[in-house]
Amino acid sequence: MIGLMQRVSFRSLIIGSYIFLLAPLICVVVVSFNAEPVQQFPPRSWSLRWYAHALQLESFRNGAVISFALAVAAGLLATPIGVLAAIGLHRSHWRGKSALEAIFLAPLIVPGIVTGISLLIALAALDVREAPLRLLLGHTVAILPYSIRTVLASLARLDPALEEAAETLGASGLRSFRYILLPLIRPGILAGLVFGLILSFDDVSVSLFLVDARTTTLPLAIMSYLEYSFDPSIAAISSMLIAVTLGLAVLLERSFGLKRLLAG
Amino acid sequence: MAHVQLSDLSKRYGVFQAVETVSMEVQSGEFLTLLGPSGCGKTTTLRMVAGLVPPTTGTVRIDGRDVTALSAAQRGIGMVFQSLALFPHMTVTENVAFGLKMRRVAPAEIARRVRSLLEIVRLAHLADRYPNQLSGGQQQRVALARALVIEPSILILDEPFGALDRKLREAMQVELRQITRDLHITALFVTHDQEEALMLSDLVAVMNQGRVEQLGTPQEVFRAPRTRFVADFMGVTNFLKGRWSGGVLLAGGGALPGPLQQVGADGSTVELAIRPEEVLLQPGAEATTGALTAAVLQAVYHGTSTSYTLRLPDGQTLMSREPNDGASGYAPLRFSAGDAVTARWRPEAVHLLQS
Amino acid sequence: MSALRRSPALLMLPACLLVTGCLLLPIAYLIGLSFNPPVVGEVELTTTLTLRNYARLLDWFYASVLLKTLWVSIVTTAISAVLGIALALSLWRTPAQWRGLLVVVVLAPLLVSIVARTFGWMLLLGDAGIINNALIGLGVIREPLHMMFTQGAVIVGLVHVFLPFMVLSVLAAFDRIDPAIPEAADTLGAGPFTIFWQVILPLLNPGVAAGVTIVFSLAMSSYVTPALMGGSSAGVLTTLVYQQLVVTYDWHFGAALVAVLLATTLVILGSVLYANAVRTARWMGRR
Repeated sequence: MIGLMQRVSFRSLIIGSYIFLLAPLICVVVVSFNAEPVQQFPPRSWSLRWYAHALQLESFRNGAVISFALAVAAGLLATPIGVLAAIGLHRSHWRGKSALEAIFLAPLIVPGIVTGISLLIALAALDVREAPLRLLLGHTVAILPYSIRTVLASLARLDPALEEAAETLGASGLRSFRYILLPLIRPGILAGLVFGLILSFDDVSVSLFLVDARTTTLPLAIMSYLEYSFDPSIAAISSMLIAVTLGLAVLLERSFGLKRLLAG
Repeated sequence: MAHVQLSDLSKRYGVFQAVETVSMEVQSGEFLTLLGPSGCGKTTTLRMVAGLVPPTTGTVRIDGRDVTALSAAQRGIGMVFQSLALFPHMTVTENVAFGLKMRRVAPAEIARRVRSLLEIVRLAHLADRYPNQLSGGQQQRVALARALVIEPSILILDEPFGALDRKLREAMQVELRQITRDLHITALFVTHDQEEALMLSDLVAVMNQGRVEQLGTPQEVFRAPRTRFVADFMGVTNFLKGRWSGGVLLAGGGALPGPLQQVGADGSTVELAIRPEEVLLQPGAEATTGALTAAVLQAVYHGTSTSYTLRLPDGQTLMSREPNDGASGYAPLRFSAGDAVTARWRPEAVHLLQS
Repeated sequence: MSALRRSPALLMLPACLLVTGCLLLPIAYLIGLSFNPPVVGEVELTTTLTLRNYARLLDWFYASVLLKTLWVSIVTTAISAVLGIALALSLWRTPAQWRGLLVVVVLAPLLVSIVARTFGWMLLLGDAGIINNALIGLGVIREPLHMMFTQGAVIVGLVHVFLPFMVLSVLAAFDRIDPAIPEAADTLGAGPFTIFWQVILPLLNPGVAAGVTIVFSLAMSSYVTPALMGGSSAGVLTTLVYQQLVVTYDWHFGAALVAVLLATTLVILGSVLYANAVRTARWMGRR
């Protein structure tokens, strides 16, 4: 009897947790199709007008362009740096290795907001006040650890004899990298890149202090829109973000495994 | 110290029949081994006895009592797992005491029984260590002590020595046999290692594809395999096809020796097994009853023995294995490829297999 | 390349420069600035050292913001730990064919924009929001419950955002548990309750500790959720920093607040990890 009650209450806790995790996302998507300007739930009539409205908003369009360009630039910058660092880490066997590893993973431990503020102040002291440059540096350093980690995870699975075998077959260092190492760690590189794109595109905490009036990212544009307006166009733009990230999440799960990607 | 009886035990996972109507009995104090390749259902059978897997059909009785519906916790069995499953966050003492604590035994009594068991398995000096501070063999003995301290009705062991190197495994096998004999424990053991099964057991059940192919003493399954599978698993490499003719078995281009009981009509075929070490060779081809002429295809020197692959007149092949003991160890090989020989064996070395 | 091959240090140089230049040095600079006397709009580091910026934290208003931030983070972490362990436990016991799908359902929200997720909660919890509408429609209440812009709302939002991290850490600990261990406890006579409390939970310790540190530090430094869901009364350290830097241009005091945020987070994380390491060192350590 007690066992049954335990089981029932455990079940309800689990089901409740899933509802808790999914409810806000579902609400956003449902509300985005509402025809009325009020946040009626469930909507009485349906329409796509808020999608049209959101897509026409100047601040969202500018924000989306900047966020996209920023994510791609930061991703393309962080990925090669991360790949090289991961290979270096993988190959070094001296004692300072763990210290270096800690340095590389530091951006994971330092809160994004601290990264943003420190960079803002340090760059201001150097009289660098260009928002695009600030954002690029901040985002690149923030997503670097993910690239390093996914590549390290791929490298750890490799048989160390593979490269030696390539060498005995006459492949030089560069060619062995090109034909052996690179194809084998490509899934890790891609996973790190895609994950970095998502993080950069969704980021608020690093960008918060690095944007200026002319250059602002999409999530921050949404936040400032939220401060004076509460119409379903926010739901529409959020739904689009959800759709894109969930699509990428499925891609990541298929190619690399979300659990492996997110766990340390 | 209990009597165990399995009746028509079966387990089905979806469309996969893991175990099919297994019935057997283990007498009090006996050591029974389920032997078979991986996936043959031996571990599933063991887990049904332990109460970790509910059977699809059939019953498990311990001392005549039907325990099929009882959980593992209620059956009072001791189990040693393949991975050992020692609790990594508890010391050796705490691991061994766990089962007694669950039974709410008084602390003083727990301390006494844990100490006496640790002495039996010779681990008393490591009582405060954690499992990962012990060697493989020591961890093995903790697992054994933990299973034995609750004075189980049956001791169940699921390939416990799989991870040990050969030398250590042999030492542990001897130790296990000694302890189960001394404590007069009914034991159920699972392994895929035929040597281990023969060495430890009073009874061996050879399993294949969810069924028991043969149940018998180690000598019976080794010396008189009843099916091709059992013969193969016991290391027999010679299988010949023969045909009955008027009470005589014709195979390999001659009549086989011995008083064999004809089964089936004249002209019906039968498969038979002979261990290679039973096949004795003489130089020269002389066709007499009870012997087969053959040609040597290949001679391979193995150190302590030499094996010859022979071709029989009807095209079947036969292996012979001769020990290289005494003077023969220093002499050159008796035959080489192309030699004509005569092969013979003791009549009781031939085993007719069930198809 | 073959030259680089023999000196992995060169391969790591770009990453080292990036992290040092864009993260470590800026943080050092910021900490230095926090010890300079406050001059509005000034960011040059000077040699005049003072503790004035830190002394302002003794002011009850600022101290209460720090305490509130700690409180919100601790409650968020505690709730996440309980739910996270429960979710990870249920995932662990889910048959393999469903498990992958459910893991994705739990983890995917991590990737969804934090702004979108917070907006979802605003829809649910607002005075004219979905929950109030439903309750009024059902006749349970007449007046809408005031849930938005409270500390409770912030905690709900934070738990939602960070729960997947906890599940992930605990799940990693579950993956390290030999599945035969609960079975062994079962054959030794332990019931499900005892198996969970005496065998499983102690083995989850490292994973729970890792999850607690991640969630706690993320909660301490979260900005979006408190800014959007907390009212003016539910201000936390990060929203205060934003005011100092963007509204009043008091960069020195802002720097001090950031330093305090960083230090508090590191100290608490350090002690959790240390306490856990001490507790599990004996059985986790190798020979």
